[in-house]
Amino acid sequence: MSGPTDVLREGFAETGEFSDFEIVCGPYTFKVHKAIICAQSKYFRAPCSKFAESDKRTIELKAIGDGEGDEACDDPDAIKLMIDFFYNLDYVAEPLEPSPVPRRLAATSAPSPLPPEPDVVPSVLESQPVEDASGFYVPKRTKKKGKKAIQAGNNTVMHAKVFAAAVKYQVFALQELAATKFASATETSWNHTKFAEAARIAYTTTVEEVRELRDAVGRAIHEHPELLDKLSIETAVKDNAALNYELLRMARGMPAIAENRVIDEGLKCAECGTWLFYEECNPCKGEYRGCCGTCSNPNCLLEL
Amino acid sequence: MDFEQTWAILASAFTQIHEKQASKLSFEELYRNAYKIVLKKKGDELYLRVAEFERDWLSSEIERRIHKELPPQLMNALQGRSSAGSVGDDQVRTQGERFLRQLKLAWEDHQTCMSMLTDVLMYMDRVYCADTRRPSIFTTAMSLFRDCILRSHVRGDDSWPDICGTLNHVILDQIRMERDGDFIDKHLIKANVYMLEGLYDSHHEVEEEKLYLTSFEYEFLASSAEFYRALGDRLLKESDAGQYCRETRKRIDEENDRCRSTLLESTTPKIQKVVEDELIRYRMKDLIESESGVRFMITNERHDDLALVFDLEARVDPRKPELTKALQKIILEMGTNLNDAAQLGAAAEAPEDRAKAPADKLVNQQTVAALKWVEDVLELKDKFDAMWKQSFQSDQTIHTAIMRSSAEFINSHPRCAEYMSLFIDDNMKKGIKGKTELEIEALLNKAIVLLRYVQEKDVFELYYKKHLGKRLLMGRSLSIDVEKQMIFRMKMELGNNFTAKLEGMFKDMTLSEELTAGYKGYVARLGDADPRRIDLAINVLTSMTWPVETTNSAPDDARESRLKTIYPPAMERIRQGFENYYKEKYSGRMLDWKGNMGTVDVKVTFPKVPSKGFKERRHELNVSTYAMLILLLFNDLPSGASLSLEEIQARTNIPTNELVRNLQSLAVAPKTRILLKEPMSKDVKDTDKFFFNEGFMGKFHKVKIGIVSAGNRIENDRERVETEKKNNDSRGYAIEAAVVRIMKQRKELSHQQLVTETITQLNSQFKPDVNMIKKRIESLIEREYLERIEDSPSSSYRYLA
Repeated sequence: MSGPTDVLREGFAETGEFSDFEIVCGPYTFKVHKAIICAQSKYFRAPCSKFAESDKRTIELKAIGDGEGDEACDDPDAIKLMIDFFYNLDYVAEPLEPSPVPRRLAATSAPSPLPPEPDVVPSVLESQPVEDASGFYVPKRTKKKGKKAIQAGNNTVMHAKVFAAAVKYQVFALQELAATKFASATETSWNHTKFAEAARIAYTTTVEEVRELRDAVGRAIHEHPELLDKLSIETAVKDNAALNYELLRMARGMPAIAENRVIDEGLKCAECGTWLFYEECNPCKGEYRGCCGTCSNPNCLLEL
Repeated sequence: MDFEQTWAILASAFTQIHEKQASKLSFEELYRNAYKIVLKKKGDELYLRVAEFERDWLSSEIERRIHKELPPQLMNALQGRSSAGSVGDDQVRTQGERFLRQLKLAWEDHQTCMSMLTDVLMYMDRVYCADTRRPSIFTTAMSLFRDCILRSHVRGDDSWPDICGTLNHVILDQIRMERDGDFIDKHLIKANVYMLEGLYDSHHEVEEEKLYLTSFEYEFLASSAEFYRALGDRLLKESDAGQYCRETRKRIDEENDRCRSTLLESTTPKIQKVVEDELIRYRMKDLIESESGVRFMITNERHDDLALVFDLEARVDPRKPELTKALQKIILEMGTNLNDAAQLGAAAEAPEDRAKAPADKLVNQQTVAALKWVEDVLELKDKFDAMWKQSFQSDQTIHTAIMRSSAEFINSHPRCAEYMSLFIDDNMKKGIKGKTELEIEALLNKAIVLLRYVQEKDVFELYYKKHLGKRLLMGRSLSIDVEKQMIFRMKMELGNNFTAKLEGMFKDMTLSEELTAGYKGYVARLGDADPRRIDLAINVLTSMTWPVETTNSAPDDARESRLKTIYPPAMERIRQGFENYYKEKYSGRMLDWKGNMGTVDVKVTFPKVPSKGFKERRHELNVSTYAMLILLLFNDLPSGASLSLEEIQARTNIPTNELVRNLQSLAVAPKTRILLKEPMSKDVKDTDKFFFNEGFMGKFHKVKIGIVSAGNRIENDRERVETEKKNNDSRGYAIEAAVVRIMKQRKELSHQQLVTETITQLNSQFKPDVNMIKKRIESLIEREYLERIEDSPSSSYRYLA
């Protein structure tokens, strides 16, 4: 077997030969090739050609726990998988350890076990958003037709982290792959105790406009309402207002995100007094800029 | 996350980027911070802050730098450009260049910095700007450059143009210098042009609103128009047309180059149009008609200049109206000159009733003039053809124009058809002697080309038949092959109809040869091997095919010609013999003998005249049939006896004019004086007496005695009237035939339509006269081929089967 990715991996990734750049993240140092990383990611073009990093031929991606405040930092393992992807066009996440056997806290009898995890990974079905009998809204599955089933494993947490890294570093192919793997892992492993962690990551590491992970999480919770009984899930949902809101909408049979938001707050143009509603100011024909564009409001931030 | 704290990190980094100290900055840190802000839903605020930062930077630091490069002196010079002239040009130029350099630098810096900021803010652009449909931060920053820098006024003074207007002025000023022959820094201008090209007039980034188009290009075109208008004025006054064309050509190329090297290629077609308008479209007429214009170029064979004129006008109008008009006018003029010259040559000696001999001479002179006319026409045509190929790129429009004007002046010569036929005749008899096949081919082509121009093809046919007839019968044609080729070409050009009769003439010739041979065989079989028998070669001509002139003698002798020519018995026997032979072969045909057309070889013995020391001499004379008849009369006459003209006529019945001509060749022409005349004069009078010239001396054994003015030559006035009449008759028949053909098909037709269709049908042969058509229609009605439709609103006819 020597497809193009094999050549890349064997020739460069494993040996680091001809490497002209280094990516450091936590304990890892990756010897990489500008041509390859810049082809995959727009992000790396800047440090490869400008700024201090280009002089040092090294970029250090701050890892969680480096003391920079964790919210915008990376998990070194996710970065490692991203770099794997650069050379392999695929990555493999370590499987999670089995969940501890859950116990149902009940005043009554012995704990009734939750349904076991299925042994077989069911094939992912193409399905349309449907409203089931109870009137719940089921988001459409994003799996694409015609692609061969991918090896996703059960590590929803790692897929969510890789996805976040892909969005941050603008690796579009990886973003798509990670989203698919995440959805696929969710199908099989929603019952895993780490699913709550995955849901948290999905709702905090990307902005709400990035829908792939959020939809998968919402769908899983919606399809398996018993999840809401689990403590880990309860904590996760309570902690995240956006997840809260989206689940509420879904329970009401609405899409998780409004397709046409009704805008009912906005600014009044300081000059002509028109409500702008983040839209065009009709009297002045100006685009919304915090003011209608003709005023001489000194607080006006921008006057394009 | 504290927004202000995070923004402070970014803002300080941005300042360093603008101050070109970015190499110490960690991209990872900046990106992470910007990413963090957006992740925390503060993308909106970040965007506004960045824009604010850029605005501050541009309107404080950069604006100051730019304005510094605009000293009042430069501003004043730019403002008062028109009046200032070239005083201090050098200084203004240096200052202008410094301004351009500073602006270029500011723009390039701005772009570099903004591209780095864009790198840092990539996540914001992607997530925030895309979702809110805001322009990218880069685009916004570019608009800020336009508003803060280009739209700013020097020292805040609104009475001066803003930086953008100043930039236009400076660039235009530099271009003016380059047009005046200076060298300028093209790259500097190009960099600024790129800036204008990269910016838009408003935040809607539509192609038409590029600053380059809305601000610069318009002014550039306007000032160029002004420049070239003035240049055009000056050039027309100061240079000749050739120079003007070369200069225009050069300027057009220059503007092309300028667009490529200094401005933008997209301007090329627009500035081309400006130059073409100012230097060509509005000037072409003046230029072509100027003293050194097209006429001068044609006269002096300035082919390159003509090519330039053509090229220039073709740029602005594919129909090239001015050049075409001028060419037509010039061709017509030159042609008319030729016509006038020919007329003058022909009328050199006014034909006031003079004696015959000078009249003949006059006719010869006219013939020479006619041939010269045709040659001149050909030369003119060659000249313009060569010009057409060499200078006008074989352009179709020009070709049509040349054709049309040529046809016009050729047809305006009343005798063009006759002259052309005469020209071919002359060449068939003399011209092609010693020429190669290729040369002959070229000559034939020329003749056909000329023929194409002639409108009155029927008149030409008439003359050609006449001339051809004489050539064939008198064996004057140098090559029957060439004759046949000519006919073939005419057939290709004008169709079967035109050549049918001409071909008939050749057929008669062939048939006659067979007849002669057949007759010889027939005589031989009779066994009458009389050594004194006269050999007979005969040409039998179909009377409808051959032109009447050749078979009839001159018209005023019509009465006389009806008298039968008297042949001596020996001749008469042969004549009868042949007639019998012929009638056996083709019964029912009439043979009419044409004594004026034949020739005879006569063996003559001139007696010894011891008194003058002459020995006996034998000569073989080749004479016309009539001359032979005359000479035979002297056979029976005793030596020294004479015959008067009247006597000769009475004994031969030869028509008077033929007789006179033959006697002239026998008795007047100095080298062939077989007879002596008394009194000795050139004219032949009724009472003149003729003697056999016993003392005739010839250098050769064979002597050919030509007939005076028997060759083809121009017709005299009387002959021409006759030809015209004949032609009108044949045209009448052609018109009648056409009318009947049309009516037979259409049954009923209005007068107007009938006339139009008749003209269309006959156009290839001649241009019918409307009056003649009317008369023919009348005649057809009289003869009950047509009738008038009584109750029709417009006059109409019906065909009567």
